[in-house]
Order: sequence, then C-alpha cells, then structure tokens
Amino acid sequence: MIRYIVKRLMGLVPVFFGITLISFFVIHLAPGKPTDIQTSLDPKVSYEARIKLEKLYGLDKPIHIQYLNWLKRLMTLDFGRSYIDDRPVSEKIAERIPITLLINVLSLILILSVGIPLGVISAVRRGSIADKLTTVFVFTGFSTPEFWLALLLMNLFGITLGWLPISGIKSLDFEYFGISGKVLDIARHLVLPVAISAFASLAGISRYMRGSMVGVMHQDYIRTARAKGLKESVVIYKHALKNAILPVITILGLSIPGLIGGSVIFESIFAIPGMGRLFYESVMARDYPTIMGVLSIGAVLTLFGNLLADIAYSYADPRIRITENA
Amino acid sequence: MKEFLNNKMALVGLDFITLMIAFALFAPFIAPYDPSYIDSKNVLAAPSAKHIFGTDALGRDLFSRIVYGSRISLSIGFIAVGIAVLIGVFLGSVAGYYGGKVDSIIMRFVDIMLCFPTFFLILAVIAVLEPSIFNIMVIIGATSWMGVARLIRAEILTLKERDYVVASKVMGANGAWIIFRHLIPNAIGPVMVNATLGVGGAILVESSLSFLGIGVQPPTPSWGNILMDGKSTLGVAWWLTVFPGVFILLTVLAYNLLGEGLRDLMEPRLRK
Repeated sequence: MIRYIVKRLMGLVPVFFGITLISFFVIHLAPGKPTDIQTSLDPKVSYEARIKLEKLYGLDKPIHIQYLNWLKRLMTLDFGRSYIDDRPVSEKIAERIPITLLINVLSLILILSVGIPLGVISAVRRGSIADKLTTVFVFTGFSTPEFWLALLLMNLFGITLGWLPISGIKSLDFEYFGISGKVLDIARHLVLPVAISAFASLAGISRYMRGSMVGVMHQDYIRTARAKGLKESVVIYKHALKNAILPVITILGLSIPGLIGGSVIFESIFAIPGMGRLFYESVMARDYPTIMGVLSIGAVLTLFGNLLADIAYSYADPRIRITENA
Repeated sequence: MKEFLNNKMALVGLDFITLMIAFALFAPFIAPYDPSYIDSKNVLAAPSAKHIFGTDALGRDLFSRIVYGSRISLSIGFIAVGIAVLIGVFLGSVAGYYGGKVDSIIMRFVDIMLCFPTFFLILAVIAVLEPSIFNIMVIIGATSWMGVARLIRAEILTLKERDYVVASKVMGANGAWIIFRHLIPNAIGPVMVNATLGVGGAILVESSLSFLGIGVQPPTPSWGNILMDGKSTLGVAWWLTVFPGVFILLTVLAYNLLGEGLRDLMEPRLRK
C-alpha cells in the first residue's frame, strides 16, 4: 500500500510542474506589464523609475529566467510579494485558505451523503416516482447556472423570509457571542454557500451512482447473493454498493477542480473572504505573484484530492494496487 | 432513428434548441424592439402587454434583449465546443493511432489539463487579455477538449486493430489517411454526444464569466450580462434576474436532454 502511494505521489510531481509552467507562460503572454498599473496613472513617473521598478520585480529578465527564478523561490515556499500591498503572497493565501477549504470539505460531505443514497435509491427502484424525481433533479442540477440559483436563494431566504444572512461569514456583533453562538453564527452564514457549491456536483454524483449501480445489479454475483437467500438490504448495501461506488470515487476526484474553480463565483456572490475571491481580486489587479500562488495552491489541492481518491479506490479494489505494482 | 423519435425528452430538447436557433437567426423579426432602444417613460416596468418581460433600469425591453442575447450565447456555445472538438479529435487520434511516446506525452498533457482548476485559468486569461467574444470562445474551447481527446483515443485503440484498417495499411496508406479516412469517421459517435453536452457547459461558463463582469461586454447583450445587470435590482425588479436565468437553464437543459438521448442511441447496450 505504501509503495503504491509513494508511486502515485511521484507521478504527481511532473503534473504539478506542468500546471505551473502552463499558468506562468499563459499569464505572462498578456500584453502590458503589471507595473503599468503603478506607473501609468502617474504621469510624473520617469522612464528610469519604471525600469527600476521592473528590475525590482525581476520583470526585465526573459520569461524562462523569470520562471526558473519563481521555481527556485517556490522550493522555500516563497511565492514572492504581492504587487498590490507588498505583503508576502504565502501570508495572503494562508489567511484566505481555511474558509475555502472548510466550504469545499463541507460541500464534499454533502455531495457524498446525499448524492450516493439518491443514486442508489433510483437505481434500485428504477421507474418509481423517487427515480423520476431524482432524474428531474439531476437534469436541473446539471443545467442551473450556480450564480443564478445563489441570487434567487439569497433573495428568498435572506431578504423575503429573512432566515439566513446573505453575505460574509460573521455577523457584525460576532465578537459578543459565546463559543456556541459563534459556531452557530458561522454555520448560518455557510448554509447557502455550501448548498450552492454542492448543487451541481451533487446532481453529477447521483447520476453516476445510479448508472454504476444499475450496471452492477445485473451482475452474476448479485443473482448468486439473492439465490442463496440473503436479505435484499444486504445484497444492495454489502454486495452491490461496494462495487458500484468504485467509479464514483474517481468521478469525485475529477470534480475537485470544478469545486475549487467554482469558489470564485460563490465567494464573490456571498462576499466570503476566501481563496476564490483573492484570486478574482488579484486577477483584476494583475498581481502576478498572487495569481501564480493561488493557481499553484489550487493545483496542489486538486492533486491531493485526486491522490486521496486514488488511495480510496485502491483500498476498495485491491486489484488496482497489485497490477500497478507488478 | 425510430428509438430516437420515441425518446420524448430528447425531442423536447431538440425542439427547444431549434426554437432558440430560430430566435438567434431571426432576432430582428422576433424582437419587438431594438435591444438598445431606450423607453425612458418605462424604466424598470413590470411585465405587461407592451413589454412582455418588462424593462431594465435604462428602459430597454427585456424580451428583445434576451432574443438578441441568444445570438451571442448560442454562438459562444457552438464555436467554443467546435474548437474543443477540433483540438480533442486531433490530439486524441494522434495519441491513439501512434501510441508509444507520442501517446504518453499527449495523455500526460491531458492529465495536467484535467487537474487544472480550469475556471481559474479562464478567468486569468480573459482578465489579462481582453474580454472579447472571440477570446472567450477560444479560451473556453482550449480548456474543454480533454474529454473528447480521451474518448477518441479509446475508440481508436480498439478500431485500429480492425481488419479494414490493417488492410488499408497493407495497401500502403499513410497514417494521416487512415486516421482521417477510416478511424475518425468511425469513432465520432461518442464525440457527438460529448459535444452536445459540451455546448450546454460552454453556455454556462460564458454566463458565469459575464456575471463576474469579465464576459461579453455591454452594450452587446448576452444572457449572462443581462443577468448581471439584473443583480443590483433583484429586490425591486425580479423579472430582470428570473427571465434570463430561465433561458440559460432551459437551453442548457435542452442540450443535456438531447445529449443523453443521443447517448442512449449510440450505446444500445445501456438500454435495458
């Protein structure tokens, strides 16, 4: 098992460098320089001062040298300093990342705990009303613009009904609450963002779960299990589910980039100070070091999620680690 | 074909798509007003006989803007997916046919792109370039070809051992001829399903970009930026948020239904 994990881990290293390489070159392809923002607004900035500024940020060097320098600093987890406020990028990301991670982990839990039972139910009772309702839900989930749903729910629960707060993660009087009050306050602020970010993937997962379960239910070993008189619930949950869940694990791993990317949208709608919003702000200000920092951390999170999915898969299906080790 | 005609949901999807294409093609005849005509006496008017979907904060007719917006939203969907299919089919068939080192380099690249939080990349590229319709089409296409590449590679891996391909090779055909003449036409089925579903996805991405303010720029109407305009007046003018959202939802839904119908048609073994 450990050998398998190490092998997978080594395989991820080139992927990580590939991602940073593509990001770096694509972002630096843009016309203009980030220093333009600092200089073009001020007509008094002389040509010499501009050159000096570029030198300070290393922008006078050819692009491949800039990339190598960036990599060199990455080894010490130094992403450079933000062009906006001159604070270390790693510090800026570190203070934004917990809330984004919290929301993504919560929505993954929601996706699994709702999506899998939904898929199983509609596979086992094919053609029933529950199955049809699930199918309707799945197609709506695939087709609904996240941000639109967010706006409508915000309006309904936040404004019309006034049940839930609609922006930020804390109330204004947060400091005066007790511990339980603080937890409750954050929880109330997170209900809508988590629900929205889970919505689309939830539909996908229950769809895949249904398909995979339907396939498994036709297998011979299910007939055998039934023939030897096992209870239907044992057949479904012990024999069928265990096999049907395998492909779903992989799909879940693949849906992580979407979740992280989606955080840009719901964090800006709900005014949540997370990584997605940081990315949006830094993109708007052409803050290259922060853009690269967030992209790299996003890539690491994605790869880590994929690795976890692979490990879960090989844990559930020993054939994988045996053939890959051979 | 008969089975497809029996799939009611797929047909409903097809009908709705046809309707939207008609909207886009005949926009000047369908829209009651010019999309930028300002009816200053009717600002933020609720839906009525005069303005069936109401008007926006400038007094522009919402229905007309949605009809014209379908041009932008649909063409971004089609062209972005067209680009994705071209890239995916090319890389996937080269990888599948030649195998070996070429294959592992291309598929490693596919892995990298699949691990990308692509929405971040799209955002970054659009923001540093400029949010023109052309740039949006290209970048959505360039970040969504991986599924097609994988599909076509898998198809070609099984097809290239077939007798007719071997026969063609024996007769001295070169790689490009075999790929374009024999392999791609036979492997294109699943790609069409993927592409149909992809059009819906691309329309969603465009609307998200426009919503963040870096998509199609006003005054050109797209469903996404009409929705963005409505955001600030959600409490007083629900129609500005509800109608464009419904059009996005129904169109994407229609593509999904059609795509699923095609999938059932292509993969009869899933139908039991």
